[in-house]
Amino acid sequence: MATLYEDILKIARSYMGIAAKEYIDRRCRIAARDTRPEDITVEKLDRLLAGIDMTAKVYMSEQKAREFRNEILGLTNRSR
Amino acid sequence: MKQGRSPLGYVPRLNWRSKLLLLFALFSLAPTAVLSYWGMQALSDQAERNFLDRIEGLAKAKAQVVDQFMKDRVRQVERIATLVVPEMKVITNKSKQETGPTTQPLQELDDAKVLEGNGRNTPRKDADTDDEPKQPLEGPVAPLPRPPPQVTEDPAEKATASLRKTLGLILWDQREYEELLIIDSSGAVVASTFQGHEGKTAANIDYFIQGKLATYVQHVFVSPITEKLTMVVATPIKDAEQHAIGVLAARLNLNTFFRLIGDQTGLGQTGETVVAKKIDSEIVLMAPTRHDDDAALKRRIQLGSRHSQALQDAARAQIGSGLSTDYRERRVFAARQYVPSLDWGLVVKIDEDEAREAAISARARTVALAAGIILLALICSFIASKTLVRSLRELKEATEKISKGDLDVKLAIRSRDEVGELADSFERMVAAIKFFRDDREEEEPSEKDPAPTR
Repeated sequence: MATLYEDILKIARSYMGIAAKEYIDRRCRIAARDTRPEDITVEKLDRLLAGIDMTAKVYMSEQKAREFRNEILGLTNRSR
Repeated sequence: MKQGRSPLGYVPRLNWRSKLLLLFALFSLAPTAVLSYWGMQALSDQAERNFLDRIEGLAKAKAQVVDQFMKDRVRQVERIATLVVPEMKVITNKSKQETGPTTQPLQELDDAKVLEGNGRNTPRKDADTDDEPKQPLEGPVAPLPRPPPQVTEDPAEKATASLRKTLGLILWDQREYEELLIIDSSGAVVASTFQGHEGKTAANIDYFIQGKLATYVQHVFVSPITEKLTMVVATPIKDAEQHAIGVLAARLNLNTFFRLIGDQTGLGQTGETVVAKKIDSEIVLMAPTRHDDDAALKRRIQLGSRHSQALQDAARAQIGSGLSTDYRERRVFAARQYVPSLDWGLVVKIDEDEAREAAISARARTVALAAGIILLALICSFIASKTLVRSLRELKEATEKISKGDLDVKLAIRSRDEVGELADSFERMVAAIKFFRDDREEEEPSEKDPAPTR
């Protein structure tokens, strides 16, 4: 079974292409300073979402940014 | 339109809309054209087959009716011949005892002129109503009113009077004959429904010579009495020992016969039935036709002639159907039949133009339908190409903006097809470029903001 990080990356790739990994890593580092991006947990997902919410629209249209955020939000129910 | 180089030389460089339009048109036009052509051909063949079947059926029916009509007449004449045997025997016995005076020849074709001249060719009156003239019989011309019968003891004269009465009654009853003649074995006309012919000789006339041997049908000729077309059926009058003691000749009234032949039911505006007989090296028409009232005996076609092939074949007992030319040298659909009792050919035909009329109008409908389909296909292809080209054009404009350094592009393409996927990829690419550009801007120290020195 894929980890949460891998699922997030998969979603991000469809919106950010080759920049997805670097973007998510950066957002994860900001959301959870004490953990590596690969180890991100569902509990930290809210902060990650807030970061995506603020920054994604810089790189894409608002509608796409909203779709991106909502898809990540869908992962919050994953393993709670 | 720009010109482009290709291995084949310069060819016009088409934009996508033109290419799509061309493709759609080609793919709608080609099958529609092929299907329409195929459909029309099938329709035309089917119409031709149906038509030939129809006229073949008509020709067969008509040939049977004509054949039956003539067989009935022949049988009827043969039956009448048996009825007159007793009287004929009496007359024959008397003529054996006497040597009669030399009789005048019965001049078939000159008779009419003689009759015209002396005014004896008058319509018959009904026997029971003397004051009011009745309609003449259909076709046949009745004999002159005879003088009241004289009382005679001569058995031959009594027999002749009896014959006249019998023949007159039959003529009146049947209405199928113009004249009935009884000719003795020497050729003298002993009794006739036309008094003027009595006492004349028919010794050299074909129907007498042939009729003495067996029943004989003389083909159509102009009646000297009515100047109308007629035929003669002659049959031997035989005694109990089967010796021919005379000949019964019946001139037929052909009105009904020609009506049967000329019936135009199911033959449209141009169809007609033509009957003809092969005489030596010619095919001679035997009845009036729809297009020529005077065709009988006057229209003649040389055997081997390029036109009227169907009639030539029919007269030679070759039945069938197909395209041919008629005596007017028009192209016709014709069905050929043979009438054995008369040795006639019968052709039922109709002008090709009229026969194909239904197929032509169906063809026009098919062409209109095909044109409609092509027009619809063109409209659809125009709309489809416009939609596709609009998306491609939007992408092209976005790419041009990016190439100029403007990453702030927004695409309005929301389709879920390949173009939509292309637009998604494009947006991902733009997002990645923006990210890396911003990332680099963050990492590279600004020239205006130099690094702090210690």
